[in-house]
Amino acid sequence: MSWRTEDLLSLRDDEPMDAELRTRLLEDRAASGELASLRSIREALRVLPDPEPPPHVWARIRAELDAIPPTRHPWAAWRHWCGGGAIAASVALAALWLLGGQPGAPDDPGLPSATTVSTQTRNDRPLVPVNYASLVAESERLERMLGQLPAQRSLMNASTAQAIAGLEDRIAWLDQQITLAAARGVAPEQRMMLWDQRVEMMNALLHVRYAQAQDAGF
Amino acid sequence: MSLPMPEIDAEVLALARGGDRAACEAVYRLFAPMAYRVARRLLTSAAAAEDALQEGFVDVFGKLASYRGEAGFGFWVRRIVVNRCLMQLRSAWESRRAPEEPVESLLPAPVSALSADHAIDLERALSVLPATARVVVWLHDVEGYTHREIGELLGHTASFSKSQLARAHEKLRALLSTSTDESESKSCPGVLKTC
Repeated sequence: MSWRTEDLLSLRDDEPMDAELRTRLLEDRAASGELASLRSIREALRVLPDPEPPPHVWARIRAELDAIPPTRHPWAAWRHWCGGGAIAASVALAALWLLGGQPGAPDDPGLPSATTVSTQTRNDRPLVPVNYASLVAESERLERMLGQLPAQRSLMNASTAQAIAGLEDRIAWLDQQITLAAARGVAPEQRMMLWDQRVEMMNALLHVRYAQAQDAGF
Repeated sequence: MSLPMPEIDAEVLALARGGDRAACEAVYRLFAPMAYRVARRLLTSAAAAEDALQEGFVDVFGKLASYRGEAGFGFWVRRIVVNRCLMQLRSAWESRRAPEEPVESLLPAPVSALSADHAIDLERALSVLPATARVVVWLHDVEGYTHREIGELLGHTASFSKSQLARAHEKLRALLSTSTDESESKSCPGVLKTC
């Protein structure tokens, strides 16, 4: 019996194929031998030793990353100031900025209660106590939902574009603060507040992007 | 079935997104072995693989904000590195590179299930395959890509990928058989298991 290597590979890889052909190949001694050989080569490829990455590559990657200029945006100066100053001050400032002027904002601009962070019902977030891990997980979930939306249209009205850009900048700023807070050993309770703010911003961005997608007919 | 992929801690990834260099380095250290393995097998030249590794990870960190978790992070990193490798293969400059280094330079102290001799034979055979056939056989048989995925990467169909895989195996078998004939005093090579 003659056969094609492609057919034997389909058999090897359990791909859909003609049942009669499959049976004939399995019953043919020579074909079975070739099939075994194909399996052997695949296994041999998989156990080839992994070459070690050259040790100097990370330093080069880091040098390239460090050479990337910071974003030229009005937020940049504020981020620079906050990054250079006390983390506690920037966290309090973030609380003021986000809570000021909103319904239910406390008169005292200090940090909210550290043990639980109750979320308001806006943006469909339930009133449940959350913890650090759940905030991180929620943030990741919102990222995935954002990724499932269609790509942003190149043409949109100025106010929508501005709202999206503003939210994305705020999220990027929060990411920087989260990084700095972790690096400088800021208390988990304060870091949790940053994550909570990130979730709020992600929710808001998701709503704007969803509305934009609806307008586009998706 | 493909080789196992490392998993990244969510907080480390979040820190890396924010630009934390220690977190970025942790991401690199975790996935560089996989990425370099892919690059070294697809490109055969150590210098080209090093470039693909470096530029691939610069791309990874530059695009971290766009990673939405739709696929495992390691698979996302690998796709970026594979794309870098394919860009190199397509470039005219790649064709003017210096001759490939001796295959033996790829091998650390033998710790694999293959003996050093058999590994060298297979390494040599893989390195002399035409680039497309080598890419297909490595991505399919080792990295676990489907023919549809490979076809999309190469700008072709799944059928093209299947035919290239068949061609790669036919060529590998011929090269390994030649290698066997050249060393008749040795016992039948385990990689073929035909005797």
